[in-house]
Amino acid sequence: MSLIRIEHVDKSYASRHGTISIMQDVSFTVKDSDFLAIVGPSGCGKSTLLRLIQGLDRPSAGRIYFQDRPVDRVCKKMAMVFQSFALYPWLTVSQNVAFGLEALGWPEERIGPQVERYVSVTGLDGFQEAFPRELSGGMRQRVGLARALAVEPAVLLMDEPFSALDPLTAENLREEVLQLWRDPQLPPDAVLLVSHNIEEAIELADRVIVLSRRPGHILAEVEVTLPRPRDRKSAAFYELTDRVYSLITAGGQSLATAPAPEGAGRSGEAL
Amino acid sequence: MAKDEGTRPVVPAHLPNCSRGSALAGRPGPPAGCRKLLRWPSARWAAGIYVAVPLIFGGSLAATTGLSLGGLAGYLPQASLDTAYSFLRMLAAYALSLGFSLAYGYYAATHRSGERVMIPILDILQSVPILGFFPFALLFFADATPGSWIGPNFASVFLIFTSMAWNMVFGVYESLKTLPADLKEAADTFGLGGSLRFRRVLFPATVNRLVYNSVLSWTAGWFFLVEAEIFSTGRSPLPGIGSYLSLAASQHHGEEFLAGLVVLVTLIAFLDFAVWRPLGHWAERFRYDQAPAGEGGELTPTRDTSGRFRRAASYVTRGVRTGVTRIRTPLVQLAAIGGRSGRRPSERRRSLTYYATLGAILVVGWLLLIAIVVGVFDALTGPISGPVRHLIFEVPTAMGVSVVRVVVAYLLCLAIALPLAIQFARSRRASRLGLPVIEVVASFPATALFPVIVFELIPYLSAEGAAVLMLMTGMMWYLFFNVLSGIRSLPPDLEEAARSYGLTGRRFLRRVLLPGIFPALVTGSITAFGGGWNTLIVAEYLSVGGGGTGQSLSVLGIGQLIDIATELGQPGNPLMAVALLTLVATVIAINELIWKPLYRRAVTQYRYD
Amino acid sequence: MSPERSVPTTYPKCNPTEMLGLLVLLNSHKGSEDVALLADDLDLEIDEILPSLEYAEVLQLVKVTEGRATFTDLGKRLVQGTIRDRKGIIREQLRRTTLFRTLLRALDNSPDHCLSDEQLGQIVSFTTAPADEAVQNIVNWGRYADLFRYDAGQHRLVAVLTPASGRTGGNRPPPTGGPTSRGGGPVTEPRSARGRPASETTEPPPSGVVPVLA
Repeated sequence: MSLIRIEHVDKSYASRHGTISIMQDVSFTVKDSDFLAIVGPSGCGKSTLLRLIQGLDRPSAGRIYFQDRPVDRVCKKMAMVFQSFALYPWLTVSQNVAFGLEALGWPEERIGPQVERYVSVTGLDGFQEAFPRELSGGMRQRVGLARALAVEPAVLLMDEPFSALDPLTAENLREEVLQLWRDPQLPPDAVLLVSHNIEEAIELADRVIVLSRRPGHILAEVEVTLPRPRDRKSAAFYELTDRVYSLITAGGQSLATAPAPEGAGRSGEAL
Repeated sequence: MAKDEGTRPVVPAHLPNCSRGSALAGRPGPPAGCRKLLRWPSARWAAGIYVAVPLIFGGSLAATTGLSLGGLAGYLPQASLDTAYSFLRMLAAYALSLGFSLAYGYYAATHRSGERVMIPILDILQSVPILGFFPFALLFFADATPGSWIGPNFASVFLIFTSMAWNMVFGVYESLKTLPADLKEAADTFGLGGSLRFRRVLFPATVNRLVYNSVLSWTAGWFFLVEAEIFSTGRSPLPGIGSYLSLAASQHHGEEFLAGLVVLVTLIAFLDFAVWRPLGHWAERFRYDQAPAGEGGELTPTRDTSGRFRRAASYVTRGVRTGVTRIRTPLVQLAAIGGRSGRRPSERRRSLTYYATLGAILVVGWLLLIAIVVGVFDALTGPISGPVRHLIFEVPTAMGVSVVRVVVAYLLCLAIALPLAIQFARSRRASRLGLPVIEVVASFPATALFPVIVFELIPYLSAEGAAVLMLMTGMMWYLFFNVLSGIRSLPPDLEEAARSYGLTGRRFLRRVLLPGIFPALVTGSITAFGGGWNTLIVAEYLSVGGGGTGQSLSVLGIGQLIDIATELGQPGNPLMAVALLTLVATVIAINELIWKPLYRRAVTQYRYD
Repeated sequence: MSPERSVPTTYPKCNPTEMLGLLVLLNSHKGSEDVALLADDLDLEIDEILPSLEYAEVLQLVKVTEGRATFTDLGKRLVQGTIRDRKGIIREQLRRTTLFRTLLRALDNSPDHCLSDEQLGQIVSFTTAPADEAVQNIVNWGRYADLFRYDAGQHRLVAVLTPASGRTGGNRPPPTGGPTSRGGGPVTEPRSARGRPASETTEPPPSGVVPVLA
């Protein structure tokens, strides 16, 4: 069954120089227990799309449905993880994790155990009373993750969650996110990841949606069936990244000057 | 927005005392562990200063006039009572300011339409010498409640409020405006709204600035409180420490005067140690402007509360900066329209027409206003009496003299502040020992000493000298703390480069240091001039004590005319109106024509990033 | 490629999350890989992964021979475990290091079960790394492993007291890691180290990172 349905969504902004079209005619669905990644060059509206899906922003045209109901306000069954972590420096780790629960109006006595649980599954034990500024980037993003998971969302939205981290920490966090998502006892049914890093998308996701340059439209939807953990150096992996990469480079050019798909540069690199 | 202006914060992100020494400091800073060690001696040192300064002062006074401790003690109860009155006024004004700044700042930051009107208004209010309106407010409130204690109290609370509120409003407004977008968005994604949003996100975001700005607000508040009370002695006396001090001074009661000082200093020291220092420490956690890009995170948030003055000064400065860069006052907009020509002329010519137009508009507007005021009074209350009319004609001269006086005081302040700040930035030792002294001295309202200046120093300094001295007390600190911060935030490599090329001495000063601190110098100057205008009212005309024992200081100036108008009462109204309008117009003109262009140049030309 | 096994003069800066990242990376290379190729996979220079590798070695999660990193049994178990399991293993392994044993003992012995930054700085004073950084690094690891708390306001370590013994060193039973002694007690042989020469496991880990304190 489809969890989220995105139908012919356009988004444009009025600016001093006329309207700027961010994306055009984007349609896809997110199924239960999907791990979906959206990749594309910068400025293709990936992050905007994420915000449209949660209802933080309205599409200029088209509809977005969550569980067959149109999204017309901020959907509390989804939770967002931010590139910049977006932690409140004046709240402790526990208070940051409790943030969403408070917004949902949970009673105090239920918030405590829930926070403890998600602090623990994300490996934050011992940091409950710490303030974000005391934490390293990796631990901060774990707080962001715990905060999002604590509200037990149906969909976890991740906006470039690993790109502010050092490579090793990012590697670790990617694996942990997978682990959490695969744990049937833990909330998110589906994960929607926005990334500019094609390797990252293919390493994590079941399906990768490839967006073109602005105005963003869907170039392709790529299924990834490689077994996990995925070896980035394997031939199959390499082939997939290459395909996505050449899709994007080709999609960015006008058709008249279509480039040779062969040797379209190294695959898998961040765009 | 402070960030995206491309200007550096006036105070470096990490207070530089220990962790990050500027290269101007002779050697690299000691490791983090010493922070703690530094903190306490500096606090103890500060406490010592609180005791030492009045003791030395009192001692020298006692030596000359022959005082006794017993006599002094006898006056303590009365002094305490009067200080308590003053303190209550301060509390009332602070509560008002806090409520006002939260409401006003919050509304301006969250409603675009409100912002467009509210922030320019605020900018004008903060640059206008509010104290000039005090005589007017005093008359107004006194007339509203004749013979009652309410009127003068209202007037003085109102005055203190005006000295406290603006920078706090700017603090609230800016902290909400500069709150990182992702923090707001995170609150959106979790659907956090209403009072919870205010409690968890918006209010905490303002706490840091509010606390630091409050420190400065209280300092300014004491200054104005004492000033207001001194001013009102002999008119509608306000029981309080200011009137107590001025009465004591007028009767040459050294013991009585000292008792007052002791109580006032004790109270200020108590507030500093029991309220502001702990509060400043606590407020550290509410900072969001310097989340360190953490690989190990920041285990050691700054605990150096003794930097709070510099921080506060920088925050206030940022308020000024907002005023300068974000806000186009209607006047400037008007001039911009006037200066616009069909084709795009060269930059220089454009700015020439621009300034010519602006100047013309100002002069014409000012003359028109005076004419209107005179006309209105003529029409409404009958012809203006001869002497008043004569005084009105003196207004332009008086204004000119006042401007010169403020400039002289400013230059003197600069001559002291610049070398001092350089010395402090260069030597860790000097700054460790000297800064607490300066902070303590700066937090003491210099106005409390004005009666002494009038009674004891005029013979030595002449009236003119005393006036300038008083002006300096109102301007000094803004300049000093800003310059110091400017020097400290100078990138060490700039200085190193200069040294490696052998640039030293005066050339170093001219080529590196002064350009480097230029933005800080300009903002410091703007605030210092603001302080100067406010001090004018008492610096140019101070009548202390009543009856035969009273003595007064009176030098020609716009402040003097405003005071004379107050003393004249009803017939003086036209003079008051004209003088006030002139003062306000001049201040705005100087801000718009000198400081703001200079500041824009400072941030475009002299920034380093 | 293998880091020096002598007493180090530096205490490399590394976060637990980085070391875990390295282990995850090694896992995706089937548990054994040339160090240079590991680094290459993430487009890193070798010296950028060396600190993590050094920690992994000291904690006996990885063995490096001739420039090739290979999981130990414990390391293998760690990457197969949950986030919580991993934390437990790291806690147990950290506790075996000389440095943390010294630290925990010092915490235990201090009257209020606290250590100030200065005291901590003295304990790690063997390193040439800036005192600030070394302290911060150690605090990071200890906190991550839940061996002690850190009170950033007071700048001091605070012991985690176990209700039963009043001793320091973690407040919940380790999820994995075999029979272990509670804080500071004699080191028992870790399960992972089975098959190793006994002499090596009863000694504090011969490490490039954790020094033998004089």
